[in-house]
Amino acid sequence: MEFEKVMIMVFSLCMLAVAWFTIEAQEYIDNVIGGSLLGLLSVIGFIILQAPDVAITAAVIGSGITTAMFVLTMIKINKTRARGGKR
Amino acid sequence: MKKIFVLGLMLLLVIGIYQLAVYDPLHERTMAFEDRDSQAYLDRSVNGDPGEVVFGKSTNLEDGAANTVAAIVVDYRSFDTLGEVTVLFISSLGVAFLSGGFGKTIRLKHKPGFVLRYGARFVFGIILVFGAYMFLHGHITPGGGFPGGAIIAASALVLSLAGEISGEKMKAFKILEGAAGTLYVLTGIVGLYMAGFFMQNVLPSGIVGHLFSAGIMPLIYLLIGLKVGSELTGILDYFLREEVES
Repeated sequence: MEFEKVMIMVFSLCMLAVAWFTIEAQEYIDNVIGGSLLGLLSVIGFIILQAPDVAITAAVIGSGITTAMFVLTMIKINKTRARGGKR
Repeated sequence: MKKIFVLGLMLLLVIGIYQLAVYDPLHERTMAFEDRDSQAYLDRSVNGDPGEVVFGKSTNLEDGAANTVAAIVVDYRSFDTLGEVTVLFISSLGVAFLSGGFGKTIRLKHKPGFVLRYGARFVFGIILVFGAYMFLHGHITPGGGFPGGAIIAASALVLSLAGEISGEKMKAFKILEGAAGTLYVLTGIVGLYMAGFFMQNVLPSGIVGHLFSAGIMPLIYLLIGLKVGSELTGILDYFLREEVES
């Protein structure tokens, strides 16, 4: 097999492993970090498929802003739980 | 009464699907590669054959953008992009309603140290300029208004994680967002007035691959970039606030 095909297969297996970790992790923060990592790996996938426009958008939105939103929401939830309030 | 209404809706659906199955808009075309619509977009030959398109040489094409994705998104299918911008605006509105309005900024557990504060200030300018580059060159290189705006929002996120941005500065972003959205619609109405179609490209298209080319596309991408950037910054700002205890 060619070198490129082997690399693409290794990369796909990496993506599968990260996706499995994202589903099966117990802590919420691990889920969020796994999803972010999956978005970062999908950027390489989009570049392999020659879609640089989508790759840029996925890099910024998928692994940057979405992760920040999740983490900020979790900080808020932890704070309200620590305060003992309903909301 | 409700059952009759549901039955009528289902009947309408069946009639619609039947009409779609009978009326085939592609009935005069084969599935050969040169005969497809996408090939016409690639050759810029929707309204007539311009011959071979050469980067840096061809002038006065029907769409002068070197980036074909941008040509389809902002010129051929500009109305769809207006819909996308509207969807983003509505989602921003929903976040604003649900997150409880203006509270004080959330207090993070870490205290921003020297490296984080000054590093964030240093990186902020570079990311901001990169985002501006991305939507100013959207019709030539990959990128465009949406990624450029998102990169600008990411730079604002970096700055707010270091505790450098405060709530009062966000009002300017809201004014910018509204002005950019209104100007986008006004650009479309100018096309309607001057050429007869909404979002028609009324400026001359120039030479393919130059910065000042492709008619109104750089203008529209500038407006989209400003609008998306300020909008996503506003959404992140709502996420960064917490409700004031009453």
